Amino acid sequence: MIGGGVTEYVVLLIYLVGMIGIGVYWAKHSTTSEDYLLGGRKIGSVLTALTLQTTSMSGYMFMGGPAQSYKEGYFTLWYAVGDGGGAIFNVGILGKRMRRLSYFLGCLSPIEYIEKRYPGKATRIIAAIIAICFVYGYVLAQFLSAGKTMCALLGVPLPIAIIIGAGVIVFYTFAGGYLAVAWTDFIQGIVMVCSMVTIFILAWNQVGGLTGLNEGLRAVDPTYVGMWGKDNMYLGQWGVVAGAVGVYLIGYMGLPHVVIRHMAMEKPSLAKQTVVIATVWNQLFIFVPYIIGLMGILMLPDIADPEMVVLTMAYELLPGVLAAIVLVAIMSAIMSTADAQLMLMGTMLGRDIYQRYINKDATDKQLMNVSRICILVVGVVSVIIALIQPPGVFQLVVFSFATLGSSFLPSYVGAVWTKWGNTTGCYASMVSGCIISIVWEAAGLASVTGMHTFFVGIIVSIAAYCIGSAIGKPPTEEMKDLIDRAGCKIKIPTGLATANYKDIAPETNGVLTFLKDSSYMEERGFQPV
Amino acid sequence: MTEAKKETKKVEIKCIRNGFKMEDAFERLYKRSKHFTIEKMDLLFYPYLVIEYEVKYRGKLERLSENVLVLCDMWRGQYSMATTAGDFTKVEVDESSLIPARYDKARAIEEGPRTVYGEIQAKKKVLNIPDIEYIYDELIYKPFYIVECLNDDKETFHILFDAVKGDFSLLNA
Repeated sequence: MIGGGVTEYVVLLIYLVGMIGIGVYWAKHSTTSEDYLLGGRKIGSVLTALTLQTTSMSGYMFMGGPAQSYKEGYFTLWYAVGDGGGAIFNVGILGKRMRRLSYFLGCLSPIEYIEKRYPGKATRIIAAIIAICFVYGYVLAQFLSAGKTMCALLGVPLPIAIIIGAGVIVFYTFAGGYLAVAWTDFIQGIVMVCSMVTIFILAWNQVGGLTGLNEGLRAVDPTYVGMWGKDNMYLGQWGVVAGAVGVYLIGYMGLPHVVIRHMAMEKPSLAKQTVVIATVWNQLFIFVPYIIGLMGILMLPDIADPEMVVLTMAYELLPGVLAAIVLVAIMSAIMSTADAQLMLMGTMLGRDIYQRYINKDATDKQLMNVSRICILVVGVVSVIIALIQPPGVFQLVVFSFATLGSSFLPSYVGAVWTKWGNTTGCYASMVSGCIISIVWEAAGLASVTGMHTFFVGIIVSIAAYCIGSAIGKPPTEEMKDLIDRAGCKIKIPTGLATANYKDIAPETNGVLTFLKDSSYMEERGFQPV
Repeated sequence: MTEAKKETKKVEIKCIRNGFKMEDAFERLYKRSKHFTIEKMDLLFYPYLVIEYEVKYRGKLERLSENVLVLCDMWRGQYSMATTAGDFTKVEVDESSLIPARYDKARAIEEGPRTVYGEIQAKKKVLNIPDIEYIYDELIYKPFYIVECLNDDKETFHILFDAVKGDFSLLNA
């Protein structure tokens, strides 16, 4: 136990009460299902960027990442390189186009989006089963992380820690929906980056800057500063390096709880600002934990648990209250990921299961209430499982990440960038990506072959998408038009671009195909559409 | 703003009453933003087939019967249930402003009951197959405005404006 004093309890209590307050505040402002599930598609660039990045970064960045660089040296910066560019790839490739296409198709959930882009009887069933199972695995892992963190840092018994941590997340997500999640993520993102950068600056001065760090590491073990890891453990293994960079560079584009952030953007043109803000935040936040881990080798050479390197350093360098804020930052990192996943579970169960299969005529109010109940039920069930038979956090996260990424990435990217990607390709990609990930993990092939599960899964899934799309029926002309429109670059005035009348979306598509096929526009002197 | 015009053959159609005149649409769009100008606006009529069926089914205790309306989008061939017949008017319009009813009318009438089955089973929880009898059908049109606009950078974009409800959607952005 590192903390456990009155200061830590008070700071943590203020933070948790603040999060609950945000949930209560936004509960009053979410009046429609679109408000509750997607923040009314009114999320600006700063909020989108921070919710996107904090959702992507879990407690791993405060504990697992620094511990890894403490053990392996400079090699771990390969992961940071991938992660640092992840925002540019994710928002740059998917952001604007996915926001537009999801709007044209009138979608509220990332599963509904897949179904409408790749229409077919089984699309939503396959996508929903994969997403619900593996996002659930993620939620469970984050609840456990929250509990274990509080337990390790404050000495609170694990069951009580899980109930408190998970309880607060469930409450504000249940009450305030997407807007509560986005605003708590925003605050959590600021707390995370400020804490990390403060520790970094103080430690950086103490080790004597880059020169002091490198010379110190070289004196301990010259392989720490090499690119192949401590004792050259990955010498010449370019496949491992490619995997380390690639996993976080492209992986997030396949995670439904991350890509839903694109759909909630206020307008497509915000994607550019979002990329800039997310990238700046990334550069401030992502490299720092790994470098702190490296500095820990010099400053804390005898630390028993390398996962505690950031927190131990905080307690050595900062006064009590500020060190307690670092503890809050770790909880923030965990909670900002967990709330997004929990929110997505509610969206999928409400929109993709209840409204699609149980009550097709559900009113807006009913949909919102059912989503709320689902969030509550998922939260309670997760807490019970975490208390009775907790699985390993790390394995659960890695497995869920790899399976979700492999199953969905080709379909999400292909949806907006290819006009040939079709339903058969989507089925093949989702099924093969999911199966290969499960088999690879269950058979322990990752350690045997030295190939990461995600790496194999994504290659198989992309190949299946291409082959399936070559065999299957091509998308309709109407869908091809929509994909073209999703890539359009015209600047639309804000008031018009944010108008959100989904009721006429089907007619809009019909009119568009008519206008393109007929001489209506030409005869009347209109510019072509 | 100019109203685009091209004289063609006139036809009389039955159309849902136009709740928004051009000036109303104009005002509604400018209320949303001042950073664009409307260059042209013209009417376009979207075809629907209203089909009425009589549905007979067994309730918990007695046999029930009711008349329902199915709306078939005659351009895309998609069905939906209609709650009311709507407020119609007969108007004479240019033939070229009509989107053609390309979907087969006989097929629409034949397949309409599927939508009714789905609706009845979902809403009334009736498990036995109801008898559905065709009563009548009528081709109607829904008016829309095609609006051509220029943004501040003088780039053109188009809006589809629902002349009945006042909703609008971007056509090519």
